[in-house]
Amino acid sequence: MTSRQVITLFFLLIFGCNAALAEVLPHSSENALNWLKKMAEAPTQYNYSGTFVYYAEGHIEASRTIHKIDKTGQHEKIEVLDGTPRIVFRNNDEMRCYLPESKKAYSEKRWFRKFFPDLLPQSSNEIDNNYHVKETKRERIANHESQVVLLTPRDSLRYGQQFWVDMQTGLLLKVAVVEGSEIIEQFAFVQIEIDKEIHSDMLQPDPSLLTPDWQAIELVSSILNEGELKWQVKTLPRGFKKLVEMKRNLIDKSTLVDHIALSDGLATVSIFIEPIVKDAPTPVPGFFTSRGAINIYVRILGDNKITTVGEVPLKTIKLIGDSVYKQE
Amino acid sequence: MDGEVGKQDASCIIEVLRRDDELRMEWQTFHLIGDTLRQSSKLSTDVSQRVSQQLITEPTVLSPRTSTILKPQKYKVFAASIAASIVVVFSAWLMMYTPSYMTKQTMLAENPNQSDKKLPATALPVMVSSPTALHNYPPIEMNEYLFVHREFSPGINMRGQMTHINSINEYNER
Repeated sequence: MTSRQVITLFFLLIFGCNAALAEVLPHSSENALNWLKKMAEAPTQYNYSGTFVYYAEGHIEASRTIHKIDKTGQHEKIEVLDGTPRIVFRNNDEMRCYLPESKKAYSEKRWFRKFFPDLLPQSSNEIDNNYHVKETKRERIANHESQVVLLTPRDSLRYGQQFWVDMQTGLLLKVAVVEGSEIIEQFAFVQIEIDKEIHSDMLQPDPSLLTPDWQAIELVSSILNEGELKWQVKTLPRGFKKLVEMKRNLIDKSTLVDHIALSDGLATVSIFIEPIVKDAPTPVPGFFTSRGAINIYVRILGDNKITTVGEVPLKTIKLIGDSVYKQE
Repeated sequence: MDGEVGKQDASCIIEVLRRDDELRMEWQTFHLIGDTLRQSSKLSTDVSQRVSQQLITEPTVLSPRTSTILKPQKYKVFAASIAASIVVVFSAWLMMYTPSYMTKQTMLAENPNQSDKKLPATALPVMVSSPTALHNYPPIEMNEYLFVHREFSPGINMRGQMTHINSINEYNER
């Protein structure tokens, strides 16, 4: 071969390498990650109130939200406007959920996560490890100019996400959970007011929710130290970390249920382990799905039932569910 | 410069030169010094920028060449290059999808039938059979888990209180 042919071959090899490596997603740009940071901080800086819709598989559901920031922290009210009425009040890490049809009021402390549009943890380091974050275009959502930020999963263990972030405040205006080109579910504001004064009365329960005929149910959870729970997950899927392990009471269950929560920074998975009660209906193992991104996997191990629930693909749910074992 | 560098070394040097502007300037300077010392009538000058500019401004000729037959030697190089590129692409693909990259569980999930043999007894999954009757597993029980999971799942308030729990008859990804 002449030197020219060698050079030709060399450059074609370089081209081939580039084409192959193009499949491996690069690190996210600083600008793109800054949008996530801005998005995570916005709910701690701005009041907002508006109406948003949840859309999945042809089903649409509207909710109204009011979010207030003051010296004492974050206060929120979310009211589901379609279907079964549900009203949730949140005061920092304390949650109360009212179900007017059944006249039940659930309360719980140590509230970990929040509602749309407050979805992101304060640190986005884990997100970059598991998703490639990229700014794409700008679009108008609910009369607000927004930056579209695309989160492409770095493997097939999680869904992709697309965020529409308010250009001025960084508040999340719309989110779509996607698998490839298919949209699995979406939340989007149809009307929103940001950084306006919100009177505290708007965040107080209506007197009709406080009558004595309501049944108050306190959900108790006891957070355990790492590894204290006798049930553990042998191998976590790549990018997932344990958020917390705890014992908690479930509604209408006499015994405490073991609960392990995992997260990859964005998607979360819960594992519930409980002994099978003899006189209760026999649990049916298998895969269950519901509307949107949630998948469920029920597995029987000895005399125990392991239920894995999360907004991740079935493959990931099975990996996690099958990886649960009992420490001797 | 003096033709004494081997072909392999030369290609490496060319590649390094291609990437480093400073080295290229030094290369140019050495040629100029050499030409001066040899008292050459045509001193080396950097024409690369002018050539590049000419290439940019030159209109692209879209008409086919009069002869489309490749010379055998060129054809061989082209074929070898393509083959080499394919090998590189395939190797990179193998690297990405090598078993060490996939977790053991990923492989098990994709081949559930093999899972029994490899997992220790404590982690042995019961083979997931098709849920025969959904009414044995009422949605209300699923709701309990969803209700609790909502603490970690954004927006599950909207997904909670399910009335549509569907069984998946076969393990089959969406």
